[in-house]
Amino acid sequence: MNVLVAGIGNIFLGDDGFGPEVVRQLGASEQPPGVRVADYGIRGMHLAYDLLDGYDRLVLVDALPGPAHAPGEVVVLSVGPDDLGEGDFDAHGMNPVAVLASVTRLGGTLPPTYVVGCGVASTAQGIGLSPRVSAAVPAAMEAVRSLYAGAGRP
Amino acid sequence: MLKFIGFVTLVVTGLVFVWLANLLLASIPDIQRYLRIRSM
Repeated sequence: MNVLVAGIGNIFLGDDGFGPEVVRQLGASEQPPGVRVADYGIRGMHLAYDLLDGYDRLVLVDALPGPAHAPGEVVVLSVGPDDLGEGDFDAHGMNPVAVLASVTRLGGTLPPTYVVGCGVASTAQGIGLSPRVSAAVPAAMEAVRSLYAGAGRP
Repeated sequence: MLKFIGFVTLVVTGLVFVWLANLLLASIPDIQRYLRIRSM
């Protein structure tokens, strides 16, 4: 099983850099065969084209803006085919709906997709995670590892 | 006095809109909320 773990978000917007930070720390250790960990930042087009390589599972790691989740709260969400609409593709940004929807449009198949997300404290301009979101990084790494357990086996 | 009443009305209306928007967001499933917010 081939798994792509994609950190997404803008490191210049405070806690929006959660995804890149999680994959940076994950990438510091050796991954099982079949697992690719990458920081896509805000390069949505790059992610869309990489998904054409044919992965069996996609794990997006991202910040969860909005009031629904407390800062530092880590959740795992599953993306179903009905969750995606058309989504206008933006070559200069990272819109998960547009990126995931474009995979099919480009001739690929969207693998089972999960989002490991974290509630944010602030996404104002600035580099670095807030203390509560930074403390949630290990929990997010564990959640990601649980999603690619069994990778590398046929 | 009228200016004050107008200001208070404006603030209250704004707060009600924010409350309704939060209520709307809270009523949809997590994954759809995430995708919608990220699409903005």
